[in-house]
Amino acid sequence: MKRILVVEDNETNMYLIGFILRKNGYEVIEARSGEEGVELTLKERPDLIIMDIQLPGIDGLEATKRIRESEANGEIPIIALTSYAMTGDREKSLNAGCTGHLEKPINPETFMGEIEKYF
Amino acid sequence: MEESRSVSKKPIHIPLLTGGLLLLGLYLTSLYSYLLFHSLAEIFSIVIAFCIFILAWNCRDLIDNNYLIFLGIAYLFVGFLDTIHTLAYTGMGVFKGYDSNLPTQLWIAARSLESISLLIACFILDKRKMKINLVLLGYIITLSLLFMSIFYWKIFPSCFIEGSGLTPFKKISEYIISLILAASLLSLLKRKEKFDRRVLQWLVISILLTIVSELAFTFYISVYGLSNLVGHIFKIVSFYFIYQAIVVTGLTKPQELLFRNLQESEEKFRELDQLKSMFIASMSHELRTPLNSIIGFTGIMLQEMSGEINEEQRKQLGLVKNSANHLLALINDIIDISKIEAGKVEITIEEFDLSVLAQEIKDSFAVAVDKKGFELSLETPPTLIIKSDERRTKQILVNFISNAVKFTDRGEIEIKIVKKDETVQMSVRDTGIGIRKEDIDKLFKTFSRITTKGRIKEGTGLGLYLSKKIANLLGGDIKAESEFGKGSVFTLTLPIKRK
Repeated sequence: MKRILVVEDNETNMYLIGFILRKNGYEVIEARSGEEGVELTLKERPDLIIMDIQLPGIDGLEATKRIRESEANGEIPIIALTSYAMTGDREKSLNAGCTGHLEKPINPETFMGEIEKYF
Repeated sequence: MEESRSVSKKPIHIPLLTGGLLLLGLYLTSLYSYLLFHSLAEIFSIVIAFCIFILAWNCRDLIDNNYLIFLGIAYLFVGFLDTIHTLAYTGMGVFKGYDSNLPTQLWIAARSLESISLLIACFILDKRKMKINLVLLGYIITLSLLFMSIFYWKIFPSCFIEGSGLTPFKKISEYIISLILAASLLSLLKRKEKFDRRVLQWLVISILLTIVSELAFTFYISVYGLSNLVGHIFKIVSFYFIYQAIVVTGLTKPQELLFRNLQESEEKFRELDQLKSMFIASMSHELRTPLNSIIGFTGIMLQEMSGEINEEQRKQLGLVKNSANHLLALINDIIDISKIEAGKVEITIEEFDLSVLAQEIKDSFAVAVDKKGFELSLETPPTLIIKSDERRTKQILVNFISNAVKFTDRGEIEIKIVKKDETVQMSVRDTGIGIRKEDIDKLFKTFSRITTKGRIKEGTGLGLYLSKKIANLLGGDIKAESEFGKGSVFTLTLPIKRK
């Protein structure tokens, strides 16, 4: 079973994303902050990471950079979740080392399709 | 600021030369007739005194300095006393039965009033508010008492005795007046921080000249003598400097001040406007967070991920989803507008194939068009590489097409892309309800939704306004043509290579 790490500080969003992923047969690892995200990546070595960009403490971009610099290697796809308000975020997140980019709000109809592209 | 600086830095040699020549001419008249000289000299200073008053009086709301307003009022009365002094001067023949004592008494009265006013003005400066009516009343009473004591009660001490010249009273008075003036100068200098540097200079020079003038008057033996002449010339110049001080404070400074205030408030307004836009941007961001879960969970339920739903529930959840999407579109438009207005919008210029983009957009409308049952066609060159912001271009075209779909019931919608010189024209033509001529200009304004009987359509009212702003940002523009009842054409023109 593929394991997906979700880094998201908003409980409702975490539940929403986790629900869709579990329903589609994935194991979900939850992280509530950038630091925790980096830590769990190193410990759990997930198959894919969904990274919210706006996070308390270090943000998603910084967390991605740290993951890319760590021995967790550069092979894990990291998908940035950004908000429409941050138009420059697409480039910023790709520059930080993200593999892909998804805009909030999540559309459950297309969400899995978008995620599975990156495996 | 530039304006006022140039006003205050006008070359001064021309007025200096004119003034010098005027005073020289005045001196020359004394060679012909001293009475003529005296009358002219006094008229000069009287005119200046009245100008001081008129200026100070009319600018009293602009002059933020009690000292100068008070002096302005004082000089009206000083000027009035000087007028009577001039008329009473030996040889004028206005007041029958008086000798040279009368003009000298009036002179002393005028100078006392002037020097005491200069001293009082310093103390008035310390007060926050000055009661102008009270000051006027005080001067009227003082002036009346002075006139009564000279003309009616005749108790004003003698100042000049024919044959022997100035009386000790007159001489002592002039010394006392000089002392009062010196005191007023000191009090003025003590409060120098309340004056503009230039204004203070004028005032100090004026008081110094008045003192010199006073001392000159203690020396003369004849009312037609040289020291009398020098005294009068210094008096004119000293009055002129007070006038200068009031001109600068009452006219030049307020303008500078107004200009400065205007600049400040303009800056503040700009800041506020930006703050407003930033506030809207961050507020909208906050508004989106709850929408994430509304749209997300409605989607989950509609997908039956959390269990089966019946038809009624499907319909209702569909309505929730549509409303939420509408709200989302509205918030996104507001974010875009506030960003554009705050000058914070980021555009990403890169090469992309417009034909591919157009095909994608067309495909995304397939379902909506099918539902309405009309044709959506696309006419474009096989490839058309342009350098612009792909996402923004898409936003505008989607806006055009969704408008067309919204307002068209039958017929067709035609998307046409044509390369023309260095620009590319993307037009969306529909056979919808069309727009009245008078309404076309309203299209591009915020929240201006043109209503046609029973045809108020769901929309944000921001789409076209935003599209135009974005088109302009990309170096292009939007044009709308329409025939009411027959359909409309919206055209986006963009440069092929946005710099």
